[in-house]
Amino acid sequence: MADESLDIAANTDHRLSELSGAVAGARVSDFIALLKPRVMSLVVFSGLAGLVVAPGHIHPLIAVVAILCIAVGAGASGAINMWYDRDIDAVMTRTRNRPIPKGNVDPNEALGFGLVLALFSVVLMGMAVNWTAGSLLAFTIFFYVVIYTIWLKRRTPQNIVIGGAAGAFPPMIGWAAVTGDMSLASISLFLLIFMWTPPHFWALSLYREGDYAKAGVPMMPVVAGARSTKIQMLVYTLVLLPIALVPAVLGVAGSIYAVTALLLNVGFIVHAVRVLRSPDLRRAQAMFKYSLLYLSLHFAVLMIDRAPGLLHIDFLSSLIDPAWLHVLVG
Amino acid sequence: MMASKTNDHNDRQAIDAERRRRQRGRNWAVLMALVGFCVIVYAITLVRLTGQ
Repeated sequence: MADESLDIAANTDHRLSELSGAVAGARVSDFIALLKPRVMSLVVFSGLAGLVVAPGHIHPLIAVVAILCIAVGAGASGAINMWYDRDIDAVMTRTRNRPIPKGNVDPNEALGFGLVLALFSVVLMGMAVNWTAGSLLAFTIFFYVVIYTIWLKRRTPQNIVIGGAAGAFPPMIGWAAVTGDMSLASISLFLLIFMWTPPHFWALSLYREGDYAKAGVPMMPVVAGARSTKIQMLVYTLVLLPIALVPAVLGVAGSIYAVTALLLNVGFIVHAVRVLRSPDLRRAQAMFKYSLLYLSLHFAVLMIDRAPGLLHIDFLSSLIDPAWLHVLVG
Repeated sequence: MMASKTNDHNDRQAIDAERRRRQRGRNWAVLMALVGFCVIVYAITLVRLTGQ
């Protein structure tokens, strides 16, 4: 008897779990999933780094609001992206369990949710923090949704090279929240993420190539082949090395950052060489995981380096300090 | 026949209960978002006024 009732309960649970959103409505967790929380966490972290390393003062509450706006803006972009990509998301193994292809959230509901959040984040950022940060946030959302998702993603293998700019703006937004402007230093943080994006995404698409081909998304390995992609990945990691050191040269970061960045970049290059030399897809998977660690550690060390009370020796910036030139010239 | 009807009835009841549960969850989420928004606007206003 007890077994029978357990069976009935299990069957009912199973049937309920298969119910679409049209029957029982979406769960709150489905709307949270629309915001792409994992992507959001990296965006928030890099935005926070921009905010921490920027010169100047910001009220702690305004800083929290700025980070909240960056998070909500990133989430809004994710929701609109899921609305537009719902057809290919249903085809790809990695994305077929997202709330729209699963039938838990109505596509129009997702679009409305994304648009409201996008508007909310931009207006709040503009009014509470400043309009430079607000405009940058608006441009980031526009870039991710229109330039990357709608225009580039299904048309060119350079999709994530150009589209990567959308993910690179958050440190600039964080910086602008404090200073109200865009400087060379904040652009150097932008460049770090911009150049990191292609090897990061291509590592993923190397071992998910079949998925992208099935969905008709022209990722680099699908269009140009694995060998060509691997060579380009190595080129990007080599170019990334000097770019990663620019914040130290400009004085945004100190020696702790410079040494860490150097080691992390050497590691990234080693991963790219291993991927190039081996047909084993596990190498690409390892490089993808390393790339996540790479970026997180870069920004973590950048913030630690700027933390008050720590020894701060700008040896790289002192090398290009005009005072040295005076000494040399006499 | 009878068993099938009972099953359908049970299903409908379970679906209705699930729908109500999800609706309640969404209502609470919207309420919390609105309260959070009011708190944020209030706090920002205080900070801005104090700053000036």
